[in-house]
Amino acid sequence: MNLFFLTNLRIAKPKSCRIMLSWVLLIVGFSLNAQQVKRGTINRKALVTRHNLNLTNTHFAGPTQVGNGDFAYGFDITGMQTFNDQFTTMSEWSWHSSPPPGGKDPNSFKKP
Amino acid sequence: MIAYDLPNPKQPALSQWLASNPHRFNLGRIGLILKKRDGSIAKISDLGSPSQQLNLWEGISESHFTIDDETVKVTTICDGQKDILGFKIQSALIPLNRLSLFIEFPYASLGYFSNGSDYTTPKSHQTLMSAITKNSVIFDRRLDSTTYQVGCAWTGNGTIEKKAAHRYIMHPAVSNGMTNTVEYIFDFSPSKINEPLPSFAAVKTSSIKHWADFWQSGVP
Repeated sequence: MNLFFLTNLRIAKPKSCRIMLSWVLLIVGFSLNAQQVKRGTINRKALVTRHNLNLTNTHFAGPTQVGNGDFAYGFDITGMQTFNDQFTTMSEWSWHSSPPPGGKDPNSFKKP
Repeated sequence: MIAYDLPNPKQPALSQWLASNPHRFNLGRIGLILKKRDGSIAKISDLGSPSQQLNLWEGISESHFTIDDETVKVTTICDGQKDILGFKIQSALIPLNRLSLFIEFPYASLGYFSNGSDYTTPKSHQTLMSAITKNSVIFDRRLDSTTYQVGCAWTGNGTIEKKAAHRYIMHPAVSNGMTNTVEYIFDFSPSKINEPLPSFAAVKTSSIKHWADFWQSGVP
């Protein structure tokens, strides 16, 4: 910013304009500087990747997961469900109903 | 004071059924079977230098460990659109015939706050293998009225072996004694799987695109 300011100050010939022009250049200089780190935006890749997992403990509770928002696979330190039978593979469609007891009709349920 | 609609003490069995249905369940467990030099199955305490990274930007996990000083690298990914998992396994244990995979299917669990898996009631559900080729298979699953398929494909001429009603072992090809790398794909689907499964590379590309798009838009 300072270099920009001084270089352009020499170009500004009329003495009467010098002070005003220096203020203009000061403001322009600030705004140019500001554009290098865009105001109001986030470096999303830097923000997200600084939370990357890096595990070295086999007893970490876990699970680590991969998925797509509708489906997920939870795994242990081996990258699979090798040692932990509590970790699961589930999807938003993986729902199950057991048959009603003794052939009863759920519609026959009455509020107490 | 307003009472809950459940339970009705006069209908205990039906009250219990309503409270526990429907419930989410575990579609299947997929893991490694690692053998030590003496042929015994490795336990978690046998892992050397374990480390695991999960790259959130791409949705890709890389896990490293050793078994009797032989390194194993597992890359774990999920397709960005479909319920498809990709595993790439790199290890000298493969040509030594000391690394295989298992898939095991549990019944749903009716327990409170359970993880949706019951491995103790094999007669409550069915698993059938169909569409068997030299590098793919489809598992047909039935839990009462719930049905789904799990497609599985692998690189090379691996084999598959039924060990129990719902447990299968997948042996990577070891014939040429050269291959240290094998890729497995698992496709979970509530409807019939009609298309060939994607390659590991395609699943990886899909994951990278999906997660980069998500982090930059916030829209899943």
